[in-house]
Amino acid sequence: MAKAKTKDYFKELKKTPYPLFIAPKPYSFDLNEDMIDMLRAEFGAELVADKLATAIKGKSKADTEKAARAFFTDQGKAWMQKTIQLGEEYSDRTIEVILESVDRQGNQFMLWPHVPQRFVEIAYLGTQNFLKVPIILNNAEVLAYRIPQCALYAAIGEKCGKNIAKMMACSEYCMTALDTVRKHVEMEMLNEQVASTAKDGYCEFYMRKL
Amino acid sequence: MCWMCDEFGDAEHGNGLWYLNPKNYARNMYKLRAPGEGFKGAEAGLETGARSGPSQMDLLNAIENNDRAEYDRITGIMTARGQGSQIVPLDDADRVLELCSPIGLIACICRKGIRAIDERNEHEYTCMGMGVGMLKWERWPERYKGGVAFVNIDEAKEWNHEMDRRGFVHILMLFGAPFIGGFCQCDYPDCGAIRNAVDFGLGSLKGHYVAMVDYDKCNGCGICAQRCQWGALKFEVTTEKANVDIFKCYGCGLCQTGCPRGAIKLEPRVNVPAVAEVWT
Repeated sequence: MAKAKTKDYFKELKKTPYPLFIAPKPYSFDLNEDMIDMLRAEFGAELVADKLATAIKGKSKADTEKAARAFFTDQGKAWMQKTIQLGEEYSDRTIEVILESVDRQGNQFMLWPHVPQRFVEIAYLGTQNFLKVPIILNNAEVLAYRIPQCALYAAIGEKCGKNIAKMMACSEYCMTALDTVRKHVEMEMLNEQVASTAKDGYCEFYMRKL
Repeated sequence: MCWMCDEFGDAEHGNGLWYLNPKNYARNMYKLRAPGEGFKGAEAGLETGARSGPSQMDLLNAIENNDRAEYDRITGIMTARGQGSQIVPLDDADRVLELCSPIGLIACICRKGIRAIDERNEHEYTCMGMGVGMLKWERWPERYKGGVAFVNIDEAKEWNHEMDRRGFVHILMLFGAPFIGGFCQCDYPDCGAIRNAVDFGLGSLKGHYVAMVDYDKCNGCGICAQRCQWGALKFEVTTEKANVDIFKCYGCGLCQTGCPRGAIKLEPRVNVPAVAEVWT
């Protein structure tokens, strides 16, 4: 005996595919790799050194340092502005934890030193050859880091000559970048360079909260 | 000075005490991974981290089997991995809290394991995490059940004083020497660090101080003996005063902060020849 056909109440529903449950992506606490690649494509050490070579070409010895410092002041600002733009565009869970703590609990103390530290780390990871930035101090008073075997210093030496590199005009690059961070985060802080690659074999920078 | 001070201390900070060197609290927030590199060790999960090297249980088995070679091998690995801890008194604890950021109050994993106590909010937390690793606590949701309450330095000090008042010992924990990433508040027998130290002579480095009783001030109330987690203090019936066994004393200072008459002082260990080099 043929089985009586029952009405399929879900016939219409079955015509559209059942939405499968997709688990939310696990949090990423790391920096976005595309962001690092984009920064490297625009501000890689070789590219900046090439631009410097063009900027000081044909200049007299006296004008070279002045031109190099002016170049690095402009470039340092552009470098950090791009870093800040990308850093805010490409978020990660590490910074979100800080910002949520500020937004939800009003923990303003969480902003320093971690927000400036993130921009500093993105900037150098996107342009240097190391896998992590050697942070020397990060506490309520100071954020300090060291740049060993600077890729930019080496590239300047290669493209423009060792004497140009030893002038350390590139200090303006890092110092202007730090000043750009200071203005962006609107915190009172004093930035200083306490060691230089030409003299000490590495650069060291301190950002002191006032 | 202990070997940690020799290796990681800075004469310009805290008289060379390694845990008062602010550099030992600094760490990068991010790292780039080499192509194809995955997560390793504790970063991959608590279980992976725990299985990536010998455990305290392996060490206890070596002692049980009287196997000196195995004992030396395991302690060598643990030292190389930068595992370790040190007891600090309240005054130094206050100074430590000014050197790190961020500071997060968290649930104690030892009390959860031993007493099945789930600390679920900031009013119940009895442990503290320090440094940028705390920003990534969600990587280990089982460890940080209940979450993390971030606090500022003043709040952290206030909390720490409350822990001291309740009778907890302050122990700094290394997360890959010399990086200090945790500040445990411990008591015996709940805490793994104290239990290993008292019962098996393993683990924590003793503090840089030794408790000394001023017998003119001591009235024999016995409060200090109640607070001592190390079995180092006893009430002497004959003299009706407190007495410290300096070989058992870990220099945590709980007796000092608990004494109503200010009869106990902490003497730097280096000034007491008998125990100047006794660190475990």
